Amino acid sequence: MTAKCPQCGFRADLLTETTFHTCSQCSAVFRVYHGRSISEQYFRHEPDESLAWGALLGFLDAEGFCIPSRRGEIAFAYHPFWLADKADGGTLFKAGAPLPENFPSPSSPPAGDLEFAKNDPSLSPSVTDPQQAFPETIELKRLRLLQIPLYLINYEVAAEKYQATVSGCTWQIHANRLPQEGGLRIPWPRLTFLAVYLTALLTAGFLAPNIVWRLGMLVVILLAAWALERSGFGRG
Amino acid sequence: MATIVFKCPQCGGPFEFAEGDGSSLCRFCGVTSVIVGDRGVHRLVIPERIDLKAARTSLRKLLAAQGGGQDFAASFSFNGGRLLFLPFWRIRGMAMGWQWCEKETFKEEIDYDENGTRYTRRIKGPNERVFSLIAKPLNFNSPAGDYASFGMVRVGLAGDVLQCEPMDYPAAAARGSVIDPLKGVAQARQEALAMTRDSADAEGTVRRKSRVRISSEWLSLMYYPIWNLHFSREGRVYPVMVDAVNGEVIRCRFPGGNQHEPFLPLAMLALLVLGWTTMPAAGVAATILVVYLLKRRSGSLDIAAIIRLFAGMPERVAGVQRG
Amino acid sequence: MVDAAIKAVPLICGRCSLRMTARKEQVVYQCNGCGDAWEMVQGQIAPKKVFSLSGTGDIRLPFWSAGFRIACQDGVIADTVSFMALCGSVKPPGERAKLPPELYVPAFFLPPQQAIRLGRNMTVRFPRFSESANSGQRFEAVTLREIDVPQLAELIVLAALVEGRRSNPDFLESFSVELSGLRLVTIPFSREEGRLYQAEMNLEV
Repeated sequence: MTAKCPQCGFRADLLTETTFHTCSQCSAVFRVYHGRSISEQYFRHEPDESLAWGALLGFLDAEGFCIPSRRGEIAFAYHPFWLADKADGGTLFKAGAPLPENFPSPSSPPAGDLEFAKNDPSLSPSVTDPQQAFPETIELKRLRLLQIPLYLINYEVAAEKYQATVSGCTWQIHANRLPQEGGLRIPWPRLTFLAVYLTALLTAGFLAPNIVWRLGMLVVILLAAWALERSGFGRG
Repeated sequence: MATIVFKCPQCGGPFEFAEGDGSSLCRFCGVTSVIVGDRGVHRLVIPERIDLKAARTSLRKLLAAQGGGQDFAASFSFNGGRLLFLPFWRIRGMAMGWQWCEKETFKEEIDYDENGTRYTRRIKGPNERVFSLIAKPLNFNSPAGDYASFGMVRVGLAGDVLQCEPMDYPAAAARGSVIDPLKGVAQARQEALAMTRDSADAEGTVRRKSRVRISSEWLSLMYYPIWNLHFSREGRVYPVMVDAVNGEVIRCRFPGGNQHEPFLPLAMLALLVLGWTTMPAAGVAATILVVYLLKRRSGSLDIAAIIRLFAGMPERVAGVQRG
Repeated sequence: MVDAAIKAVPLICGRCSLRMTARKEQVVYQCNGCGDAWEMVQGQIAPKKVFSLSGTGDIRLPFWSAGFRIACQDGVIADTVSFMALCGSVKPPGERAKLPPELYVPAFFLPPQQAIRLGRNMTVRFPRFSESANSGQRFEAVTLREIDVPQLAELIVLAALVEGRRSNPDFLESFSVELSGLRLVTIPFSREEGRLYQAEMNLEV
């Protein structure tokens, strides 16, 4: 069987029945499924976990979600995705291998600088068969395998675990669930502070012999409470 | 219509042609040259007009103007940026074909009711079947990928009036990242034709069939430059997209600072206690004053906002958002 | 990735090396010296064969001409007599009755609606021309690309059909035109009172 290199067009005899082939002319890696050669391309990316974590924090902060209390494990890897051009002009984009549970996949291919894959061990070798990825009877004109750099980030907010997928191409965040602001729960130290403050005000208010004394005592209590609060006391 | 500046293949002098032209005459050597795209696609680039420093300044100005002054702008540190060239499909030509539609027809009849009052009746007539030939000029732009995260959906006027150059991939790649088109031209053509069909929809149409194709097509893949900058504060990274042609901030999401008012809730409680422990009338006056202050602060008497105020929770001030 | 973005190819006659001039939308170029016609094929200048049809007149207008067959819900219409019936023509088909009908698509610049009308008028007149290879006669600028001919051809044939056919959506959906032997021809027209006139067909442009 022969197959054409998708990068340089060189036609090579395939001596083995494996899926992977390396072009002897340009050393691009391509895969052959059902006699059809499929180009494998990847988005060039320099891994930077702290930037990915910063992008997630920035997203949560800017969109008004809770800021994580603890950073969990961050796993960086290239993940394979099928990009198919349909005969009617549309495109289909599907994960070539499932991501771990709770980590959503990007729904459209990211924008980036694509390069033909060489024999790079960091690229994910295992993918689902394209016929399995596209079981619909749609006529496909062209099929490509894109290796997308993704960070799978675990984090915690109020002892609850969350997951997010961060694209290394555009730093776009994909998440099934995001930590919402914690409602109207008043922390106990604050409640205690307010209760003591109110009790002090009422006591001074009822015990004061006249308006001058009452005003003076309430002002003193107010200033004392304000000073305490400015120092961080009773904020929870 | 974009003007493309090129080098005359005969004399090397500057040689201009307009988007859509098949050939052009060199003003210097008088030789006419035919413009040929790579496999029919004219790959063009709009050169960037502002540098990284200007893009950064543009963002800082926006933060200072909309985010509450220089202090807010200075609270974010600049982490670097890169130039991106985003490809857009541009299709010029004629949409040609036929359209057949079946339309409802109505006629108005004057009638009189039992009291002799005149009124107009609208009566449905037989459906009308209309065949027409379509020949419309087409000028369509479509992003060659998903650029929602960049805040860009189309190249508008800029692509029409600006000067472009033939795309020099090594030169562009040396200045920034050249984004690969992931949406094929077939899809862009489908979108262009769908737009033509939609605009042909008339009121009262019950059935429609059409076959429209693009004729005299002049196809280009135009790369538009944008700056992708990163700003950070307290370890949080905020990406920013700045138009590298006019310096306008296309997309950014910056949160406002947290506002914490410790004195106001304490003072309100003290005022209420002072009023109600002095005399009922003073209590009522103090309550009215407190309600007025609360309403003035947040615009309405929102219970959640009041609880948050008394709970001492910090409130988020509106930040700066674009795109 | 590295691709050639745009290429500019100087218009130099491949036979006599003279500079050629062209309008912006022109797609076939004629040398002012030797009269040869040229076109761009895969980024290179290549000779273009142009056929001159006989007739009276001093201005030659270019047309794309081809035989054609129609596929529709009634089957395939591949001869002139069947096409004439579809057009409602009462003209006797003559010796071309069993030959494929011929189509003329204006290749010079005309607004689309006018181009369709002129193409239709020429097609339904079933003209007879004798021909010769172009012997350097000047012709008007060709602005319609060969690749765009089938689309315009389909509309011209549709415009030639009787009204009843065009109002039938099932017929329209099944309708397609297949061209054979597409070639570039020039037809002489004479200028009369500011209009172009073709005497053999009694046709005005």
